[in-house]
Amino acid sequence: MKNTCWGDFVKGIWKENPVLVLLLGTCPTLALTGSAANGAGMGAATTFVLIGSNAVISLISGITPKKIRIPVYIVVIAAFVTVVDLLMQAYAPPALYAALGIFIPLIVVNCIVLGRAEAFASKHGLLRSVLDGAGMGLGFTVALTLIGIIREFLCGGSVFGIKLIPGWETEFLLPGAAPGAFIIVGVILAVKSYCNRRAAVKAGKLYVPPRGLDCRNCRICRIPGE
Amino acid sequence: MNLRDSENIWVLGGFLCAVALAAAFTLALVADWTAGPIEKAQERNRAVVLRQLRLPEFDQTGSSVRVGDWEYFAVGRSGKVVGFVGQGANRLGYAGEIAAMVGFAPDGKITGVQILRHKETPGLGANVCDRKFKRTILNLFAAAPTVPDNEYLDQFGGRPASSAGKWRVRKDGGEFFYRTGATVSSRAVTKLVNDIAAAFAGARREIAERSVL
Repeated sequence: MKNTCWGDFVKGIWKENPVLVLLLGTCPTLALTGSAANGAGMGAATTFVLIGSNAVISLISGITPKKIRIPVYIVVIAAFVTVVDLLMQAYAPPALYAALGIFIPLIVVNCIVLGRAEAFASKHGLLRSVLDGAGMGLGFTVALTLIGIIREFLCGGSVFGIKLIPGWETEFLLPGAAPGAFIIVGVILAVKSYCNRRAAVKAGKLYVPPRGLDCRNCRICRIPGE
Repeated sequence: MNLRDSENIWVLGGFLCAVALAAAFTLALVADWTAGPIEKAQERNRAVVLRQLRLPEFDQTGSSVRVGDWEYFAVGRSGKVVGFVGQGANRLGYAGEIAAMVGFAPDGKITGVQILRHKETPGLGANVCDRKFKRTILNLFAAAPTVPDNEYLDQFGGRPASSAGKWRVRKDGGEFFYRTGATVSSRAVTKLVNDIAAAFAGARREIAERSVL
């Protein structure tokens, strides 16, 4: 049991990382990673929503009618997002709230959150769902912060607002703009895929993505009884 | 009754209503609980912005007066007016709206300019609009100044509002320098400050009379 719990937590960080493996939540990934602090802030907000919505949904999934489960989940998720929005208005640094702005309400339609609710929390108990949410949220935060660090550094040589190369005055615009974000995410995906394949070849096998990650096995949008 | 497999529309509707009601109740509680802190945070932000206008110490703000598209109010200390603040926005920025606040001394000289909102390109237009202390590994632990410098915004300081009206960037034949690659943002900021200052100069007496501390 202990092993399953630990597995639920860590799988989100690397093996099933929502951004780098599942390729979910690409909108905030591209829009909010212009600086490392923005990426980390968005990751933290999403993690809070993920943990909260996974916990509540795992508790009510036993009595939720199947026909209306998606609207019910959306109501729960929207409630948590509004809570985050209010808390950030009250306690987050003003610059961070100004930068994340409209993307906070958009966490409602972030497919990581609804995806975890439907694929995991509705089928597992409270503890495992919370751990799954925390792991997925942490994986999302790590990926966003990593992309943010790379983009901010390539732009002007700084990380978390601190210039590491003092003489770097002229800012390089491409990594800060959306096309640069696409390129950098693409490079990270290629490197990750290369590592996976290399490890598989070393072990003398052909690389096969885990069954659960293959779109052909996805049951998320299927209506029961269809 | 098996709730999970129910297809009765009244049961489904009732369940959804119950969930929505529970969510609304929770949100009402949270909203009530955060209302105070949010108001305090907004007040704090406003105070930070006002301090960056380099006005003299003040603890009172007057009622606001509209002149055209712009809004003005007096600031004072123990009943005495020590300056005026004008604010407004135009849509001439490279990425739309730019909103600014301009501080005036009682004699009409500009004390400072602060951009409240903008969506300019990071690295180009944003450098014209943002006051940001440049923290590097060399001054990692130095205290940040209350009002970080911005050479584009600081060039308005000390100029009398009455000289406004034809302020332009050098490229358009004026005397204000601009950032290469961010001419549009520089032009928008210069025009915005020019318009706020010109309207202030034209209606100074009216503003001083109507903005009651």
